[in-house]
Amino acid sequence: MLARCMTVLALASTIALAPSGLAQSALTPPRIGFVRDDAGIVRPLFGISGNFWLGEKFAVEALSVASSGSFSILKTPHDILVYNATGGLVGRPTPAAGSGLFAFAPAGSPVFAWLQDSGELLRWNGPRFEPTPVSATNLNGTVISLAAPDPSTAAFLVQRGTEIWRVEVSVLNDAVVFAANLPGLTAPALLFDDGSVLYAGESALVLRNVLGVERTIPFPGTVAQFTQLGSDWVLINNSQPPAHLALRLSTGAVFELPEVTQ
Amino acid sequence: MTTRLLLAAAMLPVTALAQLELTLYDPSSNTETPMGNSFNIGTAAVCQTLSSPEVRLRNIGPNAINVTTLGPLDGAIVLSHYPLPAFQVASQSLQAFYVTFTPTGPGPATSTLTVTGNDVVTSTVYNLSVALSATGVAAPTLTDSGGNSYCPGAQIYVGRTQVGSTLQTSLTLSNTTPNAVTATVSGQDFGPTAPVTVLAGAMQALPISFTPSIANTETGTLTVSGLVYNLTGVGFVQAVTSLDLSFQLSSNADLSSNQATVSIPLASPAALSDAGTLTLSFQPTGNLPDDPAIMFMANSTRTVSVELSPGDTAVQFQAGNATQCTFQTGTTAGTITLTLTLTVSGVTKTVSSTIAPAPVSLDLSTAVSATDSILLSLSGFDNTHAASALTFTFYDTSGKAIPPGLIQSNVTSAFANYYEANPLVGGTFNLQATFPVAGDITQVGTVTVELTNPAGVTTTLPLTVSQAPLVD
Repeated sequence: MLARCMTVLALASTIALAPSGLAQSALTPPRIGFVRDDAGIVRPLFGISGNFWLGEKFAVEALSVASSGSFSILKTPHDILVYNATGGLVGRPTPAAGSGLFAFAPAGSPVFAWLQDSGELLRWNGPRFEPTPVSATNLNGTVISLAAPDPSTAAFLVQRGTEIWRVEVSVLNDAVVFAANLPGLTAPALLFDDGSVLYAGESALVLRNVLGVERTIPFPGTVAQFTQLGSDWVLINNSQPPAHLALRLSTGAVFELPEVTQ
Repeated sequence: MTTRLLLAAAMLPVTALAQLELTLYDPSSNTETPMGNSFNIGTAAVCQTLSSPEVRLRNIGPNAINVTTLGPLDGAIVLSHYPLPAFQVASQSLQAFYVTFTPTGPGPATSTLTVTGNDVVTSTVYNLSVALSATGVAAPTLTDSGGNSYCPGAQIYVGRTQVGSTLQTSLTLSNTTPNAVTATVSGQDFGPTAPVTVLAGAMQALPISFTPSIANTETGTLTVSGLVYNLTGVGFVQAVTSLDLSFQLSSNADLSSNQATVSIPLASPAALSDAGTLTLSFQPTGNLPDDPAIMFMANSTRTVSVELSPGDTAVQFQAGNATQCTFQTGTTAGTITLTLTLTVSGVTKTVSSTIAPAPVSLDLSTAVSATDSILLSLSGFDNTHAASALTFTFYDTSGKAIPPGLIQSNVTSAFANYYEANPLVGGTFNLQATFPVAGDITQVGTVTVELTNPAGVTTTLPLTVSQAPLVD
């Protein structure tokens, strides 16, 4: 706990900043999110740009994991589990089979989970995920990414043949409220809640915003998967050469993550 | 039974009554004939050796003879298979030897066979002398670039070279015969493989290639119209030396919180397989602790395996197909040392990079207002682990500092306790500070933060106090 600062701030006599100042403050190791390796082992990732380390093994046999910085959602073969920023379990496990895709609110709390095997969309209600009317029927393709533009709308990237579509569906009645082909996009790709998309172009990562403006980041590898890793961070599972990398969205910097020999 | 034809004493070129005589022995008839005053050995091709029949030095006297001189012992015409003087020839006994002729060029050659001996009883001196002659005839000659001539049977050393590389040596074949000659090289590691023909009277360069396949002394032959010359060459493998290796560190290797790369190119391609390790070590500045995040990314340790295969132009990391390795520089001031050790060649080489103490660096800074408080979040690192002061200044939306201006806090013990309790973090930290607010929180516009450590003061740009999302 930092030293107490007893200074009182007053703003034009109408507001005041904390008589106790820094009373509620803390120093903690900088935690980014969770990383799942190819063997399904999940470890917390700590660090800052250019300096990372992995924590102790957190889970095994994980099928999917995603983090927002504030929360992480972990999919085991049988359940969906939600953890807070310090690794504490939030709510109760939600029974579900297969792997999943997850979406967070802008501030980081969990919103949706998409079950790949059953084609169902679940919504977080606090203690657990609950079913919604949304199913794979109206999506007409394979879901490759999921986002939450708002609590009542689920946004999907759907692969339809060689095309990638952005489809938004109301979680209230399964109605498609928006659908658009995203020309030039190829899987893998990651959809963000503001409608922007990250995908792998030729020797580059491409971040395309909702207006279609693209920002390219030189990248020589071959991407197998993008996953939300934390606030401002995306995990890149590289297939060639095999490696786990982290993309800092705000700066476009790509870093190698520590690899652990099993 | 040997039949000896004794010579008349008057015929012997001696100074005393002859007790010594020289004869030529014919094994087919088992007879000896006097050698006489002169003897023609015969005709030999240049470089070839022609030998006389067995020459016998006989002591026909009653006393032993002590032979003190015997020649010729050098030149184109020389004795062979003879004992070195002085030696004794017992009474009624003999000493056999040969006269050989090895012409170094065409034309006549002469010499003199001389024998001097003295009676061990009477001390009488005996001298024998025979004029020797022979004729050399033309033959192909082989010389190297140093002017050395080679005769058939000679060892021609072509040189020493690394396994897999080719050494070229040029010989000159001078064909002084009236006929064309053919030169053929044989031997697994020698070339050329095709025969070379040299016309009559011609002089031609004869390139010899040597490409050793193993580290050894390799042999081959050069045959010129039936004359065989022996070729030898030495193949070797050159182990890597420290002089062949150079470290190449990326330019950010002396900065904290960076992912630097190291590569180790070779001055020339490796000739030898080798293996070893590249290790990282870290010596923190002063009394600072170790920083575990200083490690290779490939395996999250401070050691990676390396290897070299013949032909490699750089040290290969891990699986042997990557010539570059990434490591983290950590977030603690100090010196990082990389040490390469190759086990086969025994090479050890190091390079160091010193990271100087630096002011606090912030990686992510946010200020978010909630209903009745402002949450500041600062992530970054202090590579001195000794931050001492933290200062905040809040501004209203018009840019005016909110009284009393600077809010300063002594954080020395807070950071010291944090680093002591969290040895894995190096110099990184995440600081979250909550400022409860009374009044219209939307009037708080920005905040600047100053962090002080022994290396200096870091001041953030004004952080805009953003509104937390209404729905989360």
